[in-house]
Amino acid sequence: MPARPFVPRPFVENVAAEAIVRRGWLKGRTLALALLLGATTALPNAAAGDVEYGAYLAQDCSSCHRNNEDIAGIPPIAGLPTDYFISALTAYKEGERDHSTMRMIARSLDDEQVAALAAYYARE
Amino acid sequence: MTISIGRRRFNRALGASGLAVAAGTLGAPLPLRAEAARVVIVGGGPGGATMARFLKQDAPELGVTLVEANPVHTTCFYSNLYLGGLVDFEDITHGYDQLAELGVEVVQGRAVGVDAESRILELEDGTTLDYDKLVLAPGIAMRWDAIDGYDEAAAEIMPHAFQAGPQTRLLKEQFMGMREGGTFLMVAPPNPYRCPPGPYERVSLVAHQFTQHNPTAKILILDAKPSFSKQALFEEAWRTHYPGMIEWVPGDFGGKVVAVDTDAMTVTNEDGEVFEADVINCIPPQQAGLVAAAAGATDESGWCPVEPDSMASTILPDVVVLGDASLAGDMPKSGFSANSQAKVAAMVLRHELTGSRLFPVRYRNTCWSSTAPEDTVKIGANYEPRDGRITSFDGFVSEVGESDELRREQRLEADAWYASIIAETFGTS
Repeated sequence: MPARPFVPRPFVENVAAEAIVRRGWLKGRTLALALLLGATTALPNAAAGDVEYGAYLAQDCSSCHRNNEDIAGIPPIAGLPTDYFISALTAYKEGERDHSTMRMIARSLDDEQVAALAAYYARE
Repeated sequence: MTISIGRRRFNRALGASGLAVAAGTLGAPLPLRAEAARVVIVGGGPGGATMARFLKQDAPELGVTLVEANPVHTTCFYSNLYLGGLVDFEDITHGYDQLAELGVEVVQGRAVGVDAESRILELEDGTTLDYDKLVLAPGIAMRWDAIDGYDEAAAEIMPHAFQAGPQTRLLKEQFMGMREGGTFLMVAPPNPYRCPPGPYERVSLVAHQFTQHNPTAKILILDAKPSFSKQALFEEAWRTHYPGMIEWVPGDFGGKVVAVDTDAMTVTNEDGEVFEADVINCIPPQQAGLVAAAAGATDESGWCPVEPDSMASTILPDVVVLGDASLAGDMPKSGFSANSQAKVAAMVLRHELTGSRLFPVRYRNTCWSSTAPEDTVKIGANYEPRDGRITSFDGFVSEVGESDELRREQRLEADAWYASIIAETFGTS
């Protein structure tokens, strides 16, 4: 796996993706609609992160985090917006968020890996 | 569970095909190999069961067989919480129905031998299983010869309770029924052994029971080692929660037990000193689960050397060793480690058998230890292959004097981890 620098997505795309999540546009729609939206807005986001690599890396997360089940003690992380996911991991990495395990995990991830995880979890 | 697996597969297909989705190839069947390879896994604990799940889930075309001697698995992790009255026995006991539903062939039987050249696994009842790849995840076996007088029969009187199940129940019955003001003696093992903080978490939670039911009881630990995992944290907890109840004798000050006498209920240290107790929890030196030695996968240490980037046996071809049975460099023998190793090894096996992508290898471990119902500490590290060895990098450990609130949160966190790893391993959620 050659190292690949993480390239932040253009601002316009971020706004579009956040709007979809914030307004719940994907909720209750058909698969076809989801794919249509995906073809126009979600796929360029995913291209910033290697989803298949993310799925492998996420196996480290799933030892503790359930995807869709909220258990007191460890929050679920599936479906988090890409930007939020990246900023949260960055905050752990830089010590702005306080949690010993998450700081250790975040410190071990490079930008490519964070992007891959974010892309994977945005789709879960 | 079925729904989330289904969605996960859909998402994987979506991710793997990338932009091709827009071109309308969604739903096209993935190419299947003409002859699907067969992976046989021995041992249905956190290593073996995780391997079975991830292989079958991510490469459904593979034949995946899980051979396990028992119909259910009681996890050794969290068995101390059962001893301490914090969880029920049923909470830590899990079956294999969900793995079977996923398509894993679950065979109840005891593996006794391996013909590595012909790639055949032999079971105790004479059954043989052909494999393309064999995964050994047999956990630990006790070294019955290591402490004079401590054999399988002795373990029914002085339980080790380090393979969870009937031994765990037996130990609990013994100490809950101990006479008032009696002595609970633990013989703690030398390194390496399963779950480094386990003996000390156990003593803590036995002490928790005694404070409620037998407050004048005493606990004596005779330890083969000069020090132990998270020692400062455990000693802090013992001073705080159980003052005066627990005494620890290190190996270089008379802690090394060389003999037991089950009739007299005594143990003898290397200086010839004899200790009598009402309940004796004798945790002897350990080795890899017996099938590993029978297969020829162990070295002179009694454990299985492995390649650091795949968990493949360095001795036998087409054999992978996971979890406690392996010599995994800096990684401790823990359920979390076994689960992490299984995921990495499954990724590599899948690459070898189906040509799927190979990703960088990294392992993780975190161990939570509850010293009281609302006082949980933890330790963790990352690991990766460096210079031919699984080597730790970075890490953390709880600190002495942390707030009660943090310790309470960590108990909740440990419970959530348990639920997650069980759902992931046995698929019971």
